[in-house]
Parts: sequence; structure tokens; C-alpha cells
Amino acid sequence: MKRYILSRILFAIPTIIGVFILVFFIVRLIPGDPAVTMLGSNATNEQIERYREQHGHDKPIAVQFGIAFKNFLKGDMGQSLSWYRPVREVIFEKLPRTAELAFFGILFGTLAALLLGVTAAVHRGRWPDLLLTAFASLGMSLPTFYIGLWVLVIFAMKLKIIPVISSFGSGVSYWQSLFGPVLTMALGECALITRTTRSSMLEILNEDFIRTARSKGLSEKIVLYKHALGNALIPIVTVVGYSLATAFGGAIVLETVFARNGIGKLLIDGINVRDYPLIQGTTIVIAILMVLINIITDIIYGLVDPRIRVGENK
Amino acid sequence: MLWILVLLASMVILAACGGGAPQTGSDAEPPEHGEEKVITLGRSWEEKSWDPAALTMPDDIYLAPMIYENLVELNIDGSLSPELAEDWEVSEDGLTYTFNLRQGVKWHHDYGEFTSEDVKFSIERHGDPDVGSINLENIHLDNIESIDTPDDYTVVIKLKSIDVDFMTRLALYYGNMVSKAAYEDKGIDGMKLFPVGTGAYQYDKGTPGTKTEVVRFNDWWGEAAGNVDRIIAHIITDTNTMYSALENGEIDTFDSYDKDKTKEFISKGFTSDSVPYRQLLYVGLNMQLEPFDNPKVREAFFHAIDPDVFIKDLYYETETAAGSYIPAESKYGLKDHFQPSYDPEKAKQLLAEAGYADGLEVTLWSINDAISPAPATITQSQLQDAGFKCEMQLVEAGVFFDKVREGEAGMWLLYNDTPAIADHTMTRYTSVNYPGNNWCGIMDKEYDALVDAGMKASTEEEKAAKFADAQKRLMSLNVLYPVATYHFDHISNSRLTGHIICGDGIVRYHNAVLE
Repeated sequence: MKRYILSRILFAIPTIIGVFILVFFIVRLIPGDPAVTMLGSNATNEQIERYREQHGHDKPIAVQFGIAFKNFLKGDMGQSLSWYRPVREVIFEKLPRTAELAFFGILFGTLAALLLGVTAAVHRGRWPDLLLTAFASLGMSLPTFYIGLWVLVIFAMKLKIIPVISSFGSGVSYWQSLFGPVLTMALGECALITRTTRSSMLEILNEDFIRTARSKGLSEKIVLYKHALGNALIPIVTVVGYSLATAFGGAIVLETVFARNGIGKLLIDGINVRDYPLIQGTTIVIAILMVLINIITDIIYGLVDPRIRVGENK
Repeated sequence: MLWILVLLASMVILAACGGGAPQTGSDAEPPEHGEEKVITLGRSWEEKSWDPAALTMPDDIYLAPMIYENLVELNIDGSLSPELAEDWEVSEDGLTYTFNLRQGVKWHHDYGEFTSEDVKFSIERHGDPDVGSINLENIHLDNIESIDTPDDYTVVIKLKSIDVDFMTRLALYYGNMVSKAAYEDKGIDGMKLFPVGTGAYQYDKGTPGTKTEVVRFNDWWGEAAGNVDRIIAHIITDTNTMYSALENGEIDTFDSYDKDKTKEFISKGFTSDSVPYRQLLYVGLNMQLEPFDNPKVREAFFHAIDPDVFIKDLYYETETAAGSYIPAESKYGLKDHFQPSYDPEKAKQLLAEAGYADGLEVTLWSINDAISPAPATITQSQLQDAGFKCEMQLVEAGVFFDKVREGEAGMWLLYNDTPAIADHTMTRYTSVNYPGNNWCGIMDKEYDALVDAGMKASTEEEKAAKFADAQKRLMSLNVLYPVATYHFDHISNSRLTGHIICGDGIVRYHNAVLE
């Protein structure tokens, strides 16, 4: 297992370098000059030229790449053009805001989805199943911002138990500030994981070992949650891992709707003003997180299904 | 699996305990406002840097005018009032300005007293390569011969040539006074993150991208009649969230760019102040590109637009027709020069004469933001009625600026603001600026000569006359169609009164009263 993890980490290095190279050139292919975007429509030619010189944008692209790549290898993501501070510093300020949102959103979404998915599978074809399948379809088809707006209308505007602006302080507790965006993310993720849990459970419930467990007189609770759900976890873990990985990039919409200051919003702000170092840094951090989460997901496969570990040893 | 959950949970708990994004400023704890009178502003943007040398345009600036002060203040009518300079004299030759500074003015955060050395430092630092000021041209530093400080409260500035708008330059954001002592203490990067001024409010703390807090400066030299102790500016980029936050009482005020929303909030009991911003909606044509290189096509375009539709249907008659490309609120703007003649049949006839009897295919470029698509759609519709086959391209701002600047867009619609000093707006359309920020590709010697004469004028009257002639010449070329004036609305909770709307779209709260 250790060798497997080590090999995955080694494979991750060229992936991350590849992402850096791709992002470096792609952001420069997008129309829009950072100097013009930052200085505005009234900027003079002289101001624009001086800005380019100050930030090294007047150098040939190969030279710019060489400098950026050398710095990247040293762990230096450069200076943000719009924040006037080191990119690394800005990103690590925002990252916890997105991490807590992604973690709690996926955690609560998954817990609810496991319960709902098992319930739907057990009552296959009956009204609870139809109701939960309809809920899952609705949740998957509604855009996140739409769910977010409804959460705001109900919990902030009508019930007034959470603030519209999700930054804590000024009489707003940490958990109040998290409630709206976490609920929105959990609802969206819950729908996808409920469907996956349902279909995975339906497959497992028809297996011989489930019949054997029941014939041995085990309680239905143990049969369902220990034997069936335990064996249905592989596809669920895949979906949860994928959801967690994409949550970092996908938090953009939630962070905008709830005025939350995370890494997703940072990336969008960076793109809007063509802040090349910030776009590169943010994308790299998201890529590293995705790679890490994928490795963790692989490790969890081994934990939930011993056959995978046996296969590895062979 | 458990250990992974424990690991992730620890991370989140740490984030929660650590408060996540660290705050910059004097206090990292969540605010405990107690009995303080606090107003909360909803803002969709913020000052990314607090250094006046790095501020790019008036749109970036909102809290900075409460923190920083200038030698003189720009009033809403364009006139100037004393601020940190009590009075000043101009020599007969118009080249030497002597300022008598206000005594006893204190810098925020105990950085001592404001003196003439600070004035010299604040202006000269624009020329320091390490500072990298992007406002070097705006303050006309290369026209300053010398800055002398005979004593702590006197500053003598000598110019190389007459600049009739020199005093106005000193009143704008790049003329903000900064503390030399604070600069020596905090360095260039420190200045960008922690402003030290002399204004009615001093910077307290902030989390970039989330919120900034300023508190009343008790040692301010001026008289503050208001009762607002603390101002918190929240950054909210989603407009729906902004509206909900105002209705929910989480913010007290925000700037509305949507006239429908302004109407709605007024009907709900909120107050609205129109903020003059020397802004107008215009459509530009690039006369170097086909088909707009043909004067008949440009003339046809000018007969195709009906500004009344915009003013009545889009702005509910809160705006008026624009008299020139330079708004009338600007110092050199012409009020009633441009008299549009809406005549779609004439437009069709002109297109036929230009060889486009079956219609002319054109593309209208604009920005896909909250305020541009509606007027772009009206323009497209009017062009269709006048024989143009108009395609609309709504793109992101960065792409838009690239297209027009590089001469790849023949026609565009944009809201444009003219700085308090119209020099830049006038000079950008001179021949030397094409290609570049002469987006219209105007290569007209007569216009160039008039602008040059205006820039070299020795009196305001002479400059106004030259700039008036230049504007008339510019309008005669049929490349810039000023559709209507444009103001934004400062919407406030009715419990907030007494705030002052100043020049340059700035709102001041030192006299504001919060009930």
C-alpha cells in the first residue's frame, strides 16, 4: 500500500507541472491585456507601457515562462497584480473558507444521502422511492445559484435565522455564517449521492450473501447498514471523492451568492482582471487538492474493500 | 476512513478557531461594536491598494476619500475649497503656487503632525521608480520644476509651464496627502495595505475581498456634525444578494446602477440620491475600419439612433440627452451642442447612397455586465429599423477592451466617465494615440491642433474655448454618439441622513446621522 501511495504521489508531480504549463499558456491566450484591464478604459498608452514593463509583460513569452517556472519550482507563485501581495499569502488566506464549506457541505450531504439512498432502495417502486428519486432528480437539475437564492429567501429573508452576508463577526456566529452555503452545497451533493447510493444498494441487495445474512436471522438494520451498505460503498466513495474534489472549484457560485470570500471567488476575480500569477497559483492549488483527494479516495477503496488491498499485494 | 475524517475535521476546526482569513489592521478580533453607531455599506468593489500612487480610476475609490485628504477639495460643481491648505496664492506668471498649510493637523495612528515635508513627499513619490506610480501623467509631475518647503506650514510649487488645471489635479485622488513618517515606518508594500491619512475616519481593519472598517478619527481638524462612529464596507458582488442584504437591514446603503431597482427601493421607503459622475452612455465607431471609414455610413448611423427611447424607456426620464462627448458636468463639457436628428428613412437613403441598399451587416460590441445589455438591445433594434443588419456581441470586459483597443471592433456601446479634468478624454482621440486608446481611429489634424492649443492655454477661458472648438470638430466627424447622461443612485436606509454627495462620485459620512 505504501508503495502504491508513493507511486501515486510521484505520478502527481508531472500532472501538477503539466497543469502549470497548460494554465500558463491558456491564460495568455484569453483575449484581454492585464495592463488594460487593470488600468481601465481611460488608460493612456504610456501608462499601459509602463505597467507592462513593471510586471515583466513586455518580455518575450518564453522568457516570462522561464521566470515563472523557475519560481514555481521554488514554491514561489509570484506577486498578485490585483492584490499587490504574494499569491501564496492571498490563497492561504482564502483556502480555509472554501475548505470548511466543501467539507461540511459534502459531509452533511453524504450523511443525508446515505440515509435517503438506503431508504429508497429498500422501498423500491413504492412511494418513498418515487418521492426520493424525484427529489434527487430535482436537486441534480436545479442550478446551485438557484438553490442558494431560495435558501437566502427562506432562511435569511423570511425566517431571519441566518445573515444574507455570510461573513462572520458583527453579531453573526461562525455557524450562522456557514449554514446557508453549507445547506445549499449539501442539498446539491445529496441529490447525486442519493441516486448513486440507491442504485448501488439495489445491486447489492440482490446478492446471495444478503440472502444468507437474512436467513441466518440477522436484524434488517445490520443486514442493510453493515452488510449491504458496506459493500455498496465503492461507487459511493468514488462519487463523494469526486464531489469533494470538484467542490473547491465549484464553490465559485456559492461564494458569489453568499458574499463569501473563498478560493473560488478569488479565481473568478483573478480571471476578470487577468491577474496571471493569481490565476496560475489558484489553479495549481485546486489541482493539487484534486490530486490529493483522489489519492485519499484510492486509499479509502482499500479500507472499505479488502479485496482491493489483496489485489495490490499480489 | 475515520482518520481521514478526523484529519479533515481538525483542519476545519482550526480554520474556525483561527478565524479563517486573517484580518489586516490594528485588531484581528471579530468586532464588538457595543454602543458605537455603525453604518454598513454594500460595495461591489473595493480599493485593492490603499496607496494613492496605485489607485487607477475613480471607480476604485470609495473609502479612501474618508481617510485621505488633499490640499484642496473638489466640490460637486467643480469648484475648489480649502482642505489641508488654508489658502494659496498664484504668481502673476501662473507658474508659482504658494500654499499656507493648516496647522495642528494630525496624522492617523499617531504618525505626528502634517507638515510641508509631507506635501513635498506625497507629490514627489509619484516619480520614485520603486513606488511605480501609475498616476505619473495624471499629476503632471514632469511639469513640476521644484517643490520648496521654507517652513513647516508653507509649500512653494514651481511649474515649468502654465497648467490652468493644476489646482484641480491636487484635489483628485492622486493628490492625496500621505504621511512620510508612516511610509518610512511601513514601507512601499505597507502603504498598500494600511492607509494613514488625516481624514475624518481612520482605517481600523479589513479582510481584502470581504470587508473594511474605518472608525471616527477623534483628532480630526474638521467639524463632524454626524454621529457615525464606525463605517463597515462589505464586499458583495452578486446584485441579488446586495438587494436582499439591504432589505434585511444588513447593509444601510449601496449604489444602484439599475433604474428599475432604484424605483423599487424608493417605493419601499428607502431614500435615493443621484450621484453625478460625469458619465454618459455612448456608441463609438472606428473610422479606420470598414464600413465606418465611409462618411455616409457614419452619417446614416447618426440618423438611426433615437436617444428619447433610451431616456424614457430605460432611464424613466431621470437622465437627459448629452450635449457633447464631454459631459456638461465636466469643466469643459458643452451643454447643448449635439442635436441628434432621428430619421431612419434618411439613414436608409444614406446607406443606399453608400452602396448598401439591401442593408449593411454590422456588429455591435458591448460588455456583458449588469447595465450594458439593455441599451445595447435598444441600439440593435433601432439599427435594424434603419437598414442595418446588426449582430450584437456581449463579451466580458477584458475581451471588450482588447477588441476595441486593438481596432478589431468597428462599433461599440459603453458607459464612459470623464475625469474631473477633461484633458485625457480630449487628448486620447488625437492622431498620436492611434493605435491605442484612440479607439475611434481619429486622424484629424484640425482636431489635433485644437486640443494642443487647449493644453497649452494660459487661461481657463482660452482652454475652454479651444476645447469647445475641438469638441465641435469631434462631433462633426460622426464617430462618437453620446446617447444620454448617466448617474448612479445612492440608495440608503431611511434611518441614515446627512451624508454629503461630493464631486467625483464620492459620498462623505462625517456629517451623517444614524437614527
